[in-house]
Amino acid sequence: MADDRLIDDEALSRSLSHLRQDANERELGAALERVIAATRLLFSATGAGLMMIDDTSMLRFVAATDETGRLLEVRQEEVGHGPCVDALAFDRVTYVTDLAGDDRWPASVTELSEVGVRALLGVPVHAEGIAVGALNVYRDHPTEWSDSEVRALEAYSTLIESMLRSAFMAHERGEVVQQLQHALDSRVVIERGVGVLMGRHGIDAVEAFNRLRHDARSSGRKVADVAAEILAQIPGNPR
Amino acid sequence: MSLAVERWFGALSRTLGTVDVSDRDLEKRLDELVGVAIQVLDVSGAGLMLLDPESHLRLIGASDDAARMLESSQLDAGAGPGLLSTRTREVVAVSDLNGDGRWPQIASAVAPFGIRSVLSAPLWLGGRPVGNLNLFDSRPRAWTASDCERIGAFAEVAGSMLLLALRAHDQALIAGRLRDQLQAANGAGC
Repeated sequence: MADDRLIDDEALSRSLSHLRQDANERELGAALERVIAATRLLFSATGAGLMMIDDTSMLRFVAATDETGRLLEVRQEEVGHGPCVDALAFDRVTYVTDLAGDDRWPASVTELSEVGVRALLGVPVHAEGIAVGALNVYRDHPTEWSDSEVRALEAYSTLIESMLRSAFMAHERGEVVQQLQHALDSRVVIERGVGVLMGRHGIDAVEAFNRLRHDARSSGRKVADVAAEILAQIPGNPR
Repeated sequence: MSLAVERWFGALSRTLGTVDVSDRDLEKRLDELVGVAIQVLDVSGAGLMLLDPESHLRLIGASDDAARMLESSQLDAGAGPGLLSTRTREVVAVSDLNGDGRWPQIASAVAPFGIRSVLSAPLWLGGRPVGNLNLFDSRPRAWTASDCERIGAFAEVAGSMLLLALRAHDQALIAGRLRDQLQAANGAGC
């Protein structure tokens, strides 16, 4: 690998762009990086990797612990077929006891048995109940995966699901926060604009607001923008 | 404030009032964490403590009554493997509570629940130890170096997950506060 970063930021960004990720992307990226790095230790694996679907529903490489793991994902991404692709496509655990001679997969994938990918376990990763990715671990020796290993990896993948969910919620709520802040800010401006019009024309608040709104509608602007313009025209106004 | 303006803002704040500020989601995330720890680290049970705003450790999650007792007996005693791990920032291993001698009070409190061995790791958040994760087994267990490494790695992942869950939680609190301000402003009139 060119550097020791486990996450391909660009790939992650591409994969999550359709879910309107941005502010939390770096934090989510760091968290996923940690998840994948720990996977190797927690599951006595030679390596581990994560793939997620992008905005065209294609499964893309997101993270891997090592160069071999990266190759494993990139090859599957290229041919659109393989154990991790199956884990996502069929939304179920995919077991590979020994990749060497496993004729379910394309040659470009099975030939990775020569560089240390022998046993492989892939589990789907969900968002809102839909499979959106696959977490996989591999070992450099053939393995009959035990039920407890499979259950443990499935349980572990729910941590990734939890992280995705938290990141999406933080993002959605962040947008609400922005809208609320904007609403509060414009409220102050509109109130002051209404006050100015009341004083200037000797009208009441309802009439003043209706004038603001009429001006806004006829010029295709926001009420707060019209109010801000009125305030800006007052000599010596700090705004 | 005039009625027209009030209606305008009232509608807006109703539209934006979609965030559940009580936010059960954070609790759910922490509950899940304990369950996943048991499966991944292959132990009988697990519990989680976090520092509250006054820097006191609090029981946050427990897999069962035994785990709850392990956590609360440590909090009662003001000591224990979990508290020690947060303070020393290191994994603390107790292979057999009965023969350990460091925490007799905890050993006798959890004995009826069948807890014999404990493994505790500090939980980190933004580079600070903010709590601890406690695993236990119903039999004496000579925790290996690999066990210690694995609980450490899991605790790091748990911290990352917690950070993201807290971000989401914070946004809900901020949204709630802003919405209250907006509604107060509308209600006050002017």
